[in-house]
Amino acid sequence: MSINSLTQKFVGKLLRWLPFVLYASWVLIGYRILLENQVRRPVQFRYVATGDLSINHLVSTEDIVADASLPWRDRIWLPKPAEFEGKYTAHRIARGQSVELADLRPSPMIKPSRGDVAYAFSLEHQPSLGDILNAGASVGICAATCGGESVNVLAVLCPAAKRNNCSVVLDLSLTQVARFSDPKNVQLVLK
Amino acid sequence: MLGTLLDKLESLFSKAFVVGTIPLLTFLFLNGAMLYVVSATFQNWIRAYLALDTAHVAILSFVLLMAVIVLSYVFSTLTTGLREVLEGAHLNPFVANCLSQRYRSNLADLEEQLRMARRFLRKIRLNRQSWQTQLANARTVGAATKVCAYQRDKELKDLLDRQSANQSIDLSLLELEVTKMTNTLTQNSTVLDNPACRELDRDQGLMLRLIAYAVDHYQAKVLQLFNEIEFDFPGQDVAPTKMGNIANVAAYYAQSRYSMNLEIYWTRLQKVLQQDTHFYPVLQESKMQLDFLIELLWLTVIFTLIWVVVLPFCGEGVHLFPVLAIGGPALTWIWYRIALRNYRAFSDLVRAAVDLYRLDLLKGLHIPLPTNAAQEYVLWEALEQRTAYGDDTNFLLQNP
Repeated sequence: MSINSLTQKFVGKLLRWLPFVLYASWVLIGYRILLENQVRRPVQFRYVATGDLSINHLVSTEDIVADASLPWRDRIWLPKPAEFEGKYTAHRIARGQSVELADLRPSPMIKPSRGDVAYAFSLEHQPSLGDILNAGASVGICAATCGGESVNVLAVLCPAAKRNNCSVVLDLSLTQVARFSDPKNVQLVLK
Repeated sequence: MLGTLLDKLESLFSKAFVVGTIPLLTFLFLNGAMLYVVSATFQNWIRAYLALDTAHVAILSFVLLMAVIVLSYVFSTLTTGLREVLEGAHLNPFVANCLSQRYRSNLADLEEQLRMARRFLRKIRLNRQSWQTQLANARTVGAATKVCAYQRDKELKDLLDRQSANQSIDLSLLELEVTKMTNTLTQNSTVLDNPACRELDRDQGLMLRLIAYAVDHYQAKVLQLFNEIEFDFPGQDVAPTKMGNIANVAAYYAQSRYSMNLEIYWTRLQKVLQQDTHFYPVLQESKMQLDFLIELLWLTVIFTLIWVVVLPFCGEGVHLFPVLAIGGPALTWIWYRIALRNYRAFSDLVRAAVDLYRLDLLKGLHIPLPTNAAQEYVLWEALEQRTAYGDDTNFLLQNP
């Protein structure tokens, strides 16, 4: 084949670059294939806490989120969030840490402070607090008057996953318990 | 430590073989490591191997060692072929022509640059003496004027800046500046004690240094271009790759200087070279280094291609893949550049061998030594005709 030197130089350049272009194309395609075929590590199949969860925290679906590195299409293999809902944390879980079913238990482990008692107070008059309060929160007590002291919430007890007719378990001293002599007239305020 | 190990192994195998095994062993080890990362089955094999009792481990290790040795031997026989691929030796003539066009253009550019540099150098050398005299005469004339109003002009400043930046100086600009300086020196005195006069005096000195710099610069450029053409191009018959061109330089040198066909006489010349216990090991070492780099280069290419293709289908190594895809070619390029340097050195040694030992080869062939260069040229040609083509040219033989 007879061609002029310029064409020959152009063809030479094409031939010289062709392997590099093919290689670069394969690298891009190959990387895409690799991402699609990527072997999922068990560690990716998990939920993580959206915030700090105290011990005895009543878990709702908002408290957990699937690991961000797990692609959406693979999230179907995760346990259903409903399985976590209504259960209590067995230990403190920091934000971003994994939350597994093994970290939860069906009922809270109530353990009041030394010299205090655990007092269950129904929220039937303040149902909205059932959605807000959770273990580790602090509340104030308003009986005839509102006292300035803070009381720790040990746990929130709800009969169903839906937070209706909930009760809070408060960590109270004996003098504080006396203020609950007429529970109907007692209100809790958020601290 | 490694040296001792190599020496011990050398007593069993040749040094070239032992050194040539290193790239292959590294290749096998790295492939094993990659396999361990991506394959659970391979991991289980390794665990099973490590759990074996000593006797089984010894047997298996021996079998593996034998396999590696056989593989090394097979691979060492492929080195020449692999080098020839890099030299573009087995390409289709059309493809080879297209690929070599780049080097033909490069050669033409270099030759043009060399021609220009030589011209400049010749001109500057011719003018240097007259410029110096011209400036000296002008200075004498100017000394009588008893006035000095000088300020360095922009062009001179630029030229001096080019000198300090080690850049080329345009000959016409230099010529113009010499003329300007001559005129200035004629009209101004350099011997008065004022700042302008002192600056003129200093600039005259700088001008002389500038001329000397221009000579040195073009001299160095001529040398550099000449060497580049001599070491990187086998005359006008250009190969399709850079390595191919460097590979053909020694053969072209022997052919063009002595009419000696190195393809035919290289093996015979090696026999003569072996008698020189200082030169031959250096030549062998150089060849060994070249083969080592060629093996390393090809094994890097093979390793990269294997894993760049395999990893995506394994679904493993999301972070490893980009490193491999970029690092592999980068490393290959580095090996290639180093191999080119080594090839240049090896080629130079072959040329030196031709210069120094070709007459010993004639002695070895019992052929009387030629009395001059022209006779030698004809002799090698005739010898080639007889040995390579079976021509019936008669030769006078010398009894030992």
